[in-house]
Amino acid sequence: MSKNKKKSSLLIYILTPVIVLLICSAVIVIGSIVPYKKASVYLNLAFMDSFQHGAADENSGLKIQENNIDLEYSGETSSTGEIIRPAFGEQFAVLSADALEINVPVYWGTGQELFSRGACQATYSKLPGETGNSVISAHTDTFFDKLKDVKTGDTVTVYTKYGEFQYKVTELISFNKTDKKYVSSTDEARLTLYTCKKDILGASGERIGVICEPVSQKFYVQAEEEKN
Amino acid sequence: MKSLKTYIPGLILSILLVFSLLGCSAAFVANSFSDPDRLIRIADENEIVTVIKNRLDSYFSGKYNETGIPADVYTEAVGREYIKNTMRGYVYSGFDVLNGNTADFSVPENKELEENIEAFIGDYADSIGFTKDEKYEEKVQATIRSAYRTIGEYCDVFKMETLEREGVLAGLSPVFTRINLIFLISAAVSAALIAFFIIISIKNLSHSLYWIGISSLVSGIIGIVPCICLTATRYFDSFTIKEPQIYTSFTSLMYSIVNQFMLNQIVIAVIGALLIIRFAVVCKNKKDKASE
Repeated sequence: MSKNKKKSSLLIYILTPVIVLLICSAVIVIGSIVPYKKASVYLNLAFMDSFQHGAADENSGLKIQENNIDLEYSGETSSTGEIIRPAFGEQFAVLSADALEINVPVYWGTGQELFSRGACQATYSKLPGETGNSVISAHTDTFFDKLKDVKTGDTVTVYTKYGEFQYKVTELISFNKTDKKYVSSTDEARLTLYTCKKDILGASGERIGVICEPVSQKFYVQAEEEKN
Repeated sequence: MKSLKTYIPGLILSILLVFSLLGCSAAFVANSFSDPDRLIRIADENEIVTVIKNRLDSYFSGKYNETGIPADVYTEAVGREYIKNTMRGYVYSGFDVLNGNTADFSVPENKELEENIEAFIGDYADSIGFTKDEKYEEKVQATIRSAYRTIGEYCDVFKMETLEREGVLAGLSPVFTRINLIFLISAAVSAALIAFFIIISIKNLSHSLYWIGISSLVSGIIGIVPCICLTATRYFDSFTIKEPQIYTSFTSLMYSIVNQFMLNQIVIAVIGALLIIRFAVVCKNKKDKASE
């Protein structure tokens, strides 16, 4: 009997910490449900990088890809076709206009590094060939230095991997950087090019640009076949 | 623990001691991080000043394409010492708000920076025959203000100004100003519970070793497990803001807090384990004496 008593005493001594641990854990879990629900929105916002990338260096996470865009495609084309969606940081087009004097590489996405390499298309805007506003910008001191010389009636051509898109300049625009009217989405296809208005020095709050209406679009049949 | 009459109260008091030890440990950690110099030390250990300097140099170099102002107009006047003082200023201002005072989150004046900008823009204006009228002066001042704003954004590595603007610091202030009191109260409660265990076990002090021991051990385990999870999964590495100086400062601070708390809990758990072992030894000695 005393042996049984000793065994049950020992069992109690061993089980007691387990019981205390379970009770305390249960209290903490139950007590945390409501505060966690309230805090989870903020926690998810604050810690939303599921890949746990480290601190960014200048180009961290940015894969810059330059492509040879064919400016003299002579293959079969079609007035309809499929868009080949580029990756962020990819050079997907070349912009050409007589007034610009140079062929400007166009990158998908914006950022300091991309702006130093060419013009950038905002990823919220539509790609050339899609219905909607294609918004492309570049620095006034570099690639869009001559944008102010573009006139209404001028032709602007965007060469991409999947087609060639010609536009005619229909309107010269000037707006404040806080005014989203010209860079918002539209129901019809158009191309909006803009840059900072050159000021004496220092960053300008004003923007100048052009709005272009599509004239023709030629989707490369070969590109579509390669994609398929 | 010969009967339920002593076992149940002991169990309840033990649970209370677990929570008071957890509270005491958390308050101790909060207290030790309530010193702005602690945050500055964390930033210094991670060479945040160098990171800020590199990022600012890179920013002004990129900005040249937009503004035409060469980077060295800014960077020559924004040295490591100036960056260090600006960064510290933001931390101290944040803690001023936490302590219930108002704070000024302004960037320290940099005469050399202002003169550089004025000189460069002035020379450019002269070269193109631009009239230095009121609009010109406005432009110069706007450029200077923009420079200060940028420097401030890069130097505010713990986002104190943003937290103040969103009301977070003011919201935390009532708790922050009482952190010492909270620590003292939780320590007093823990001491009182320990004293109570000793008093009720006065006839058999070894039992108090047992109860205090398991409370400490359980408190330690409850504190250690989440810390291990946070550290092992590198949870704070998923911090959304990837700007290097902010990311590094913030994640280092979070990991420091977690590590400090984990260390406290390990100490508490070890003390608990030692007390339980001591209890076991005392019991064994009693048994051996009794059998003799």
